[in-house]
Amino acid sequence: MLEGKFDEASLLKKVIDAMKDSVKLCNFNCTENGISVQAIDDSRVLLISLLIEAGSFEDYRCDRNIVLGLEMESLNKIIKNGNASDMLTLVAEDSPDALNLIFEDKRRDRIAEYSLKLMDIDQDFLKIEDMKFDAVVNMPSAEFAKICRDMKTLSESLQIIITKDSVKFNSEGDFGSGSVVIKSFTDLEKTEESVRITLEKPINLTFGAKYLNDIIKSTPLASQVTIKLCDKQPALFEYQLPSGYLRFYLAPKFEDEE
Amino acid sequence: MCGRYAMAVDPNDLPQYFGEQNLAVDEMHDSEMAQPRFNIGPAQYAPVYYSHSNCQRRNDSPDNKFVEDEADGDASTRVIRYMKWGMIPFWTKRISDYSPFKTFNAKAESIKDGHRVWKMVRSRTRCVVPMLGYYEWLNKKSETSKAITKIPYFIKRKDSKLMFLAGLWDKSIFSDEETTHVIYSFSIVTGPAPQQLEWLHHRMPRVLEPGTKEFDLWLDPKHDWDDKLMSCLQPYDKDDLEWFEVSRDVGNVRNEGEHLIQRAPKRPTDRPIKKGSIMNWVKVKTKEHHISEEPSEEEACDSSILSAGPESPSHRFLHTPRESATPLTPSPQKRTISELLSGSHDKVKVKDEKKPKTEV
Repeated sequence: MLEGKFDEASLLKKVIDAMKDSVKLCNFNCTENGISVQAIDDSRVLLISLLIEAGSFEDYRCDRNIVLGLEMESLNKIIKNGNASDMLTLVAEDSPDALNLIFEDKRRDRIAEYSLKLMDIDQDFLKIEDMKFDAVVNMPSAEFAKICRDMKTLSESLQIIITKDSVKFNSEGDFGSGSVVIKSFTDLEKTEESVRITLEKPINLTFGAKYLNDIIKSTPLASQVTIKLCDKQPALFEYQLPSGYLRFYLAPKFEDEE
Repeated sequence: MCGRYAMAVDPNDLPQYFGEQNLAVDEMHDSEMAQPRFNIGPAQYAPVYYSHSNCQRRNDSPDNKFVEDEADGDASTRVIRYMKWGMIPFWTKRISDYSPFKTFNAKAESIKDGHRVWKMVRSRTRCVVPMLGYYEWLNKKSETSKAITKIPYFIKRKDSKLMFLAGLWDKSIFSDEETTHVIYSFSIVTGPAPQQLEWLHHRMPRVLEPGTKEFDLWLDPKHDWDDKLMSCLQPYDKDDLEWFEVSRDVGNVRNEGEHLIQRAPKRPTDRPIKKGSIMNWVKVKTKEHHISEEPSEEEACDSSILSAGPESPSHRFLHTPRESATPLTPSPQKRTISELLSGSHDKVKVKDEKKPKTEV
């Protein structure tokens, strides 16, 4: 039996909103520690790893491991019906064929209950190699989102160049080019505004702007995004949850690609 | 329905194939009419297996050369004859009146009712049609539009021996001033699909298992039509068949090759990996591992365990208790990137294809 109560439905709303455009069908693996999802987008360039630990819930119990096969679009439709401030409880039996979602209005006596049919999704489980990163950038998520959006207006590729204390986002398109440079910066009053760059080796990688624009749909989840990079390896973009994370592994573009 | 099947066995090897299932082959005719094919459609020639009682032979056979050899009047002869698929009733006057697409299947219900096409043949010329397996198309509705995708499946015996479908055949003679054409043709009997295959199509050919009394009764040329024969045409619900998605190439009857009866690669991990794919950094584990071994705490919440969402995953709504609750025994099979890159597909454990069986 799974019973997970969120103090506010907004957390799951934001998570689903961040994922639904990249992956259509996901297995949600529920264990006593929380709920996790690993999924790859159709083009197999972006890999999403979600972990909502029990600590992100107000109450959480899961007696035995359950796999919930969910269609993201359907889940999103139901989630959107609840108010962001509602208390949201997820309920599933041990061998479920449906996931129940219960929204409770905290101010009024209003309870909305939905049942979502589960899918049997044929998925392999994949293990990503442990990766070592040469550069780590912590920056405001909203700033990163703006850069990705702005640069996409110029080109379908975004180059990320990291040198000693600065990160350069560079975009070269048919009609022009543009770049944004940000430097390490510490705001003691508003720590979420800080930029921190940790570097072992300089980085010069190019990514698909389309995927970055899918990733930044997670911006409402966290004030900061952590970007971890290493030459010729997937980059890791991480948004922290109250307890857990939403991570995106994005394969870099190679010059000889079409 | 059964409108396409695979019978890529050389005529010379047929007696051996039949022998494996303890079926005698006394005669073989017209094997030059067809090439072994993985993609046989109506109007093409393919082997058909039937019994001939000797008395019947004398009246019926166009060539009586074997009659003298058969001293024992009660014995029946087992014959393989290559025939045209799509039965031409013997009373058809002109070959131009005939379309194989009208009679490539014989509905068990129409046979029972004594439809004029089947009334004569149901009594005297019953046969079985040997094959490696047959194709059936699943009509899959798009979730977003009214479009319907047709996905071909191949249905075969799990032990890969020949599968036999109940059939009816006839012999028609067309003559003009100069020549006389004799055409042997056959039809495959279909009926409502058994529960296990309803999800795929509501009709299914009638499978007869060699060695059963139904098989022998259906082929008994001396047994006139009665209700007993109808009992041979029950939906086939034994669990010795298997099925899987195959290449859409089979849709065109001109396509040919063994790949038509091989599992279509459908998982993202089965597809070739491009240089820019995240799959280059991922190791594949099978689903069974995750379910059977109740992942450890570390694994369940470990960010390094990543699962793929397939591009066109096979999925269905769950209506029954999940089978995953039952522990599965196989040990996890691991696949490394190098294996993935080498394109070897055989190490991937394909999930039980029977899973979608209760789609309503």
